[in-house]
Amino acid sequence: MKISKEIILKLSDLARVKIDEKDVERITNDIDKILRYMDKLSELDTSQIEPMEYLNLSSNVLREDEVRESYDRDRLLACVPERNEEYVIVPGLTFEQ
Amino acid sequence: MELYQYTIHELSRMIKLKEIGVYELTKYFLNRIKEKDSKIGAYITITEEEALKRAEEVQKGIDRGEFNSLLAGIPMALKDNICTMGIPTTCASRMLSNFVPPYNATVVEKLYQNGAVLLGKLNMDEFAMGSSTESSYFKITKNPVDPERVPGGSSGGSAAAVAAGEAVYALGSDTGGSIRQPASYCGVVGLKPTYGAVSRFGLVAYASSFDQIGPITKDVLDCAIVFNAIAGKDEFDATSSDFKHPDYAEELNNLYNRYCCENECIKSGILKGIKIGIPREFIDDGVDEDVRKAILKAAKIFESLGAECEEFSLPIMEYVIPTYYIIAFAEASSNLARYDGIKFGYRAEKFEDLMDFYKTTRSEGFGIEVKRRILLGTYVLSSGYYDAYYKKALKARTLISRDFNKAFEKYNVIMGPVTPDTAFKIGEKTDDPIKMYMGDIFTVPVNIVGLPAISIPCGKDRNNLPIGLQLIGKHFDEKTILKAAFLFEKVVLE
Repeated sequence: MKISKEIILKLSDLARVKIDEKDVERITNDIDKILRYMDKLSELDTSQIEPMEYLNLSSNVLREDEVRESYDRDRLLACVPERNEEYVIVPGLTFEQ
Repeated sequence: MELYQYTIHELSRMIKLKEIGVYELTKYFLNRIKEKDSKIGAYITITEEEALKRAEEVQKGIDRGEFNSLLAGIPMALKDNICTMGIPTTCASRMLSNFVPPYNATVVEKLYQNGAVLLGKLNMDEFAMGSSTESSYFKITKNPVDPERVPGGSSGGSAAAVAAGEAVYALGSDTGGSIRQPASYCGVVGLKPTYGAVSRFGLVAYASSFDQIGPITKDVLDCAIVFNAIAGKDEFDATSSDFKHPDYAEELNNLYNRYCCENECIKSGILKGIKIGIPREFIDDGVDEDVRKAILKAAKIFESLGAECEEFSLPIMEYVIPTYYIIAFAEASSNLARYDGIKFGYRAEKFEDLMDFYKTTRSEGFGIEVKRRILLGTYVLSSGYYDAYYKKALKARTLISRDFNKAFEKYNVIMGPVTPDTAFKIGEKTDDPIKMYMGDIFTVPVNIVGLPAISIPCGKDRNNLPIGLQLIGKHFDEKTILKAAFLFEKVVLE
């Protein structure tokens, strides 16, 4: 199936990535070409094949539920774009319709 | 010989014999970076002040006899997707340009315990997505062998820094060849360990089922020394393995003693019992003539050491690129969903509503290749296409694993080139993503199956550019590929 501009704009919504108007055509063409190349896999008969989701995960990893020292709050908060002493500050995000 | 040319094992000895101090050595490398890096562009961040302070501490520790590691006092640098507490870790992205991690990656903790001195953080393709280090938000790194060419990627800064003598060694990460390919292009040694051999805790995630951290070094012994220090189970990475690693450096030293002390007869049989398979698909028409010749010459060298080399067919190779990229796109789109502009990283200033806040933040924060991969990943995971692309690729992964494991029933090592060509010119492939992806054909199957592989220099092409030889081993059999690579290096140097 040919990838259309509409599909790209839908993906841009789903992935929360804005695409500049000037780049839409280029990205649409690139993605169309790349997916066509990936279609090669349809040649493979995989009807009896199980998907391989994990590598070398032969058992669950369990541990005791114990209290441990965690990361320092100030250090973690230092990464936040905007904050006060205790909280993450988010921009005002409710709007009148 | 200049100081920047020495290996870890040579410098470590000089430090031990007090021929040079750690502070002096660190200062030397910082000066060399100042002098050279404006032309190479390997570093994003240089941690001069911290490095000098650390050098003094490590020297005191060495004087008190606290370190017995060969890495004690050796100046090194890290790819900028490996978290360093208090030191920016940007992933070469605008999205993380202001990110200062609140913790160290496990590999960083381990290197520090061994007395390592950090010189700085190295350039890469944005979020490790690329094969040329051209997609960095900050700058393009140049290949020290020929500045008009790319150093490879995504660990291009790591390979360039080691090749240019701007660090004694470096760590990189390898998702589809990102350690081996730049090592090959820059003429240095790079090891991609078995999936699970090295903890990924603190490595910024790209495609979690492929990612592994590994060393880039000047020679194979150095590679073993660094791998010794970083390998092992980590409770912070549930996919890390409790495999009991041997002392890889000691194995090589023992081998060297045998190789040097024994008579010619033993020398010519030192790899007896080792069967090396060369897939025909690795040396076919798509491969540069000089590269092919270098690989066949390498086979002769292994035969002269007693190994058996044999060509065999691996037809599944036709499907490795689509399989790899579909899974990598899917995992990337999922991993990169965390960059929302709220908790850390870049945040857009102008926006209309919540949806626009996310979209603008991510659009301004990510570069074109990252966006392309997120969109592709979103597509292959979306309802209606999931089975045709993502699930299909996971099934192909089963088939590829099966074929490689079958080959390993017969061979101890699978050998071939790292890449079909040598370092290309800057800008040559930036407009053609498929052309760029195709160059990864010989490196991605290793990540699909989770195998270990080493890249070592094995000659030069007609333009005097380095050619890389790739030795692929069975799961957790780094020992065999390190031994074979080590002996190969010795024969070539003689």
